[in-house]
Amino acid sequence: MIAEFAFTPSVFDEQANPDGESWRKQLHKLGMTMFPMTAACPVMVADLRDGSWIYAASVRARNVADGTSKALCEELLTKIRDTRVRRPQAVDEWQDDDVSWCREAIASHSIEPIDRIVSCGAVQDMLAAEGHPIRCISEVEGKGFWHDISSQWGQQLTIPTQIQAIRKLTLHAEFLCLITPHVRGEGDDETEFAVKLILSSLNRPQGFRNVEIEVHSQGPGEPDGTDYKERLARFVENVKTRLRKGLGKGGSVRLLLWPKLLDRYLIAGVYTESSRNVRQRSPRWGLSMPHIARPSDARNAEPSKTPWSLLTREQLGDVFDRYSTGDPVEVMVTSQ
Amino acid sequence: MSATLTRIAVANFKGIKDEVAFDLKPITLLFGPNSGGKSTLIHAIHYANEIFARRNLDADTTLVGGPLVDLGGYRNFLHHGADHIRISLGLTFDEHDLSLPNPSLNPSNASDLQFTGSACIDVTIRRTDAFASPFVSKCSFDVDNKLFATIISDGSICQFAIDSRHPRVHIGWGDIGETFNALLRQLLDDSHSVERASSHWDEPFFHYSIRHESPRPTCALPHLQLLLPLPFWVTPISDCHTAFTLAECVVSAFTIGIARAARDCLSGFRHLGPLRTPVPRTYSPPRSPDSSRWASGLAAWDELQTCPDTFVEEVSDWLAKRLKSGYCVRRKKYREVDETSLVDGDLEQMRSQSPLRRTILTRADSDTELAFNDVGVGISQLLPVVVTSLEGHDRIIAIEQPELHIHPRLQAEIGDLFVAASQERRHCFLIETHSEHCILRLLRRIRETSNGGHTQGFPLMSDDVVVYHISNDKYCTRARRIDVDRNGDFVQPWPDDFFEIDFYERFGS
Repeated sequence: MIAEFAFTPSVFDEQANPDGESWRKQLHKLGMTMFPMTAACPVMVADLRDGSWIYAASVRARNVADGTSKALCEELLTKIRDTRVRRPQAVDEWQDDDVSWCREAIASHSIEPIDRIVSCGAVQDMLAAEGHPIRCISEVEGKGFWHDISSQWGQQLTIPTQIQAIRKLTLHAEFLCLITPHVRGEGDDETEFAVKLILSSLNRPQGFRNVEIEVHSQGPGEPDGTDYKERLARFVENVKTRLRKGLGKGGSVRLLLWPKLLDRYLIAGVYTESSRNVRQRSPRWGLSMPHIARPSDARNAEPSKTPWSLLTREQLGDVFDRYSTGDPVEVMVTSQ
Repeated sequence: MSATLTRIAVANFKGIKDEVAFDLKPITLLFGPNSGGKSTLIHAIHYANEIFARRNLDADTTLVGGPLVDLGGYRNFLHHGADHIRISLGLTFDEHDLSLPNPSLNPSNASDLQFTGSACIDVTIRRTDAFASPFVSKCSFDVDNKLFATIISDGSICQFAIDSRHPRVHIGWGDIGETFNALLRQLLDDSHSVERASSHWDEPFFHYSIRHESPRPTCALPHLQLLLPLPFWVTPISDCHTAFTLAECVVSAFTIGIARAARDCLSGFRHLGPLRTPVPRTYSPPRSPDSSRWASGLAAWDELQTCPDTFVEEVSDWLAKRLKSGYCVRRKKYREVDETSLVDGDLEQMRSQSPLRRTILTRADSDTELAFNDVGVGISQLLPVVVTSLEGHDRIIAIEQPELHIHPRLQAEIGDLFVAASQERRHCFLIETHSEHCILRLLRRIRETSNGGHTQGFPLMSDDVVVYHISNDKYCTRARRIDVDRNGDFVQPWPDDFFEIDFYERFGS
C-alpha cells in the first residue's frame, strides 16, 4: 500500500548521525526500499511547511563532508523530489531545528495522518517522552518499519477499506481519474465506490490544494441503435443522480463515457505550467485495480482480497495517454 | 515568410507501424534505447525531402545524407516490407507564404495568398503490381486544420476533390471567393463535367477526374511547377476566363502552394550523422558544393574554408569562449610565391596577387598552429556540431549524438549552443542523443528563465523544447512524448531508467 513519510532534515545530516558506517547502511536501505528498481515507488514524502522541507534537507546533504555519504544523501533527495507531496504549514512558531521540524510533522499528522515520521535518534528520544510516535532512521533496517508498504498488495474487497487504501491519492492529487467500466448509476455496481472516492477527495483539510475529478466509464451499448440517444440520456441521468451524492455545494465531476472500456485504474497527478502559462496535467501515481468493491460485497462475512498494484512510470504514462486522447462522450456533473 | 515545419506524422515507415506524430519545437530531443528507432524520424525527413525535392519515391541514398544515409529503397523502408500497406507522411507548417509557380498568375491582391494559419500536406505512397515503382497514391491538403483538397491516384486516373466551401475560401477572400464559388457552381451545372462524382451542389466537395496515359504511374502529388489542373475544357471559359484564372490560383495556392512550402522548408534540411569523419592532414575543400558532406561533418570544414571572416570569428568565439574547448579557429591569409621571384627580389609581383585564405586551428591561449587532425578526436567531432548549428538560418537540423567523444562539461555547454542557434538563427533542432548532461543544461535554462534568474544569455521557454522517448515495442517503434514544465521538470513520467542509472549503481547491493 502507498504510504506517506515525513523525514526531518537531520536524516540527511552528518552531524546528527555520528556512526557514518551505520548511517550509510540506513540510507542505502531507505533508497532501495523506497525506490525498487523494477516496481513503482510505494512511498510519497511530505514536503512540510508548504514545500520548504526539501530545501532544508538539501542544505544538510550539501554540507555532508564524507563523499560517499554525501552522494547517497543527494541521490536520495533527487529521487525524493519526484515523490514529494506538499503539506501546508501546521505550526506557527518556528525555529529551523530538528525538533521544530518534528513538531511540524506531528502537527500535520494530526490534521491528516502521516504513516512514518522519521528523524534521528536524539530527536526521537526527546519527543518520545511526550508520547509522539517518531521513528528513528535506524529502524529502517527492521522489517516492521516497512510493514504494509508495498507496490502491490492484496486489497480487501469492501468499499471503506478500499477508499482508505487510496486516501493518500485522494488527499494529495490535484486531478484524479477513476477508470472503470462499471459506473452505471445502478444499485450494485461500482458507482458507490465512485461516490465515496469523490467524497474522500473533496474532504480535504484547509491548505491542501483543490482537486478535479474525472470518472471514466463505459457508455450504453449499441451506439448505432436508433434509440441510442434516449438510452444514453437515461444512462447519464442515472449516473449523474448517483454521483451528485458525493458532491458538496458547487462541486463538479467530469463524466467521460467510452464505447468500450475494460480497465480499472485510478490515475492521480498534479498540475504544472509551461513557461507560457499553459496548464498541463502531470500524472504522478497510477493504481491498477482488477476488482473494485460494490455495496453487496459488504455482506460477505469474510471479504475476499484482490491484488492491487501501483503502476510503474512506463505503465502510468501509457494509461494516462490512452485516457487523455480519444473522443469519449463528456458530461459535466454538478451539484444541484 | 518561410515555412516552419511544426509537425511530422509518419506511418508504416521502417519500424513505425501505426501513425506517430512528432511535434517539432525549436529543440526536439530524441531519447531512447539503442535500436529503438530514434533515427527513423530523421530518415522520414530525408524521405520527405526526396519526395518533394525530386519525386524520388524509391530512395536509397539521399540528397542530404549522401552515401551515409542509405534508405535502401521503398521495399526496404516499407514497414515489414509488406506490399499491401502504404507509407504515409504528413507535414504541418505554420506561418508561410503560398507561392505559386508563376507569380504573374497570382491574383492582383497577392497579399491574400499569405496567411498565418497552419497548413498540412499528407502523402501516401504505395506500390501496385501494375507498376514497378512506387507512386504517391493520395495527397491531401489541410488548411487551418480542415481538409481542403484530396487527390487520389490509382496510377492511371487522378481523382480530385476540392472543398469549395472551405472557410479559407469563403472567409477573407472577398471577390475571389465569390467568383471561385460561382465558377464551381457553373462547372457543376455543366452536364459535360468529366467523371464528376459530386452529385449536387450541396455537397461541399467538388469532384473531378483526369486520366493520364503513361507507362509510369501517375502521382497524386501534383507537379510543383504547374498550376493544379481544373477541368476547364468542359467549361465555357470565354465567359469567365478571369474567374477561372482566379479559381486556378486559389486552388493552386492551397494545394501546389502548400506542397511548394513543404519542399522549400525541407530544402534547408541538414543532417549531421552519428560519426563525423576526421579530416585528413592533406585536406582541401572540394570545389563543387555538396550538401551531402554535412552528414559526415566534412562540409563543416569546407564551410570554414570558404565562409566570410565573420563566421570564422563566430565559430571561434563559441569554441574558445562559450564552450571553453581550449581551441580557436582563425582565418589565415597568405600568398604563394615562386622561389625564383624571391631570388629575383620581385616582391611586388607577389604583392599583386590576391591573398589565398586558409582556416587554421590554434590553441586558445597561444598562436600555435595545429592541423585539424593533430587535436583530440573530441574537437574533430565537436567542430562540425558548432558549424552546423551556426550556419544559415531557418533550417531543420538533425544531429545524431552531438555528445560523441565530448567531455561531460562540453556536453552541457552544447545545450547552450542549441538554445542560442534556435533563437538567433531560428533553426529547428532535432537532436538524437544519450546525453544526460545536454538535457540537464536545457532543463536548467528553462528553470532559470522561469525564475527570472541568470541564464548567462540563454533564456529558454519550456514550450520551445519537447522530448520524445523512442523505444521498440514488439518490433514496432513507439514514441512517447514528454513535455517540460516551467520548472524544468518533465510533465509526463520518463518511461525508463535513463536518469536513474547513477542511483541504482550507487544504491545497488
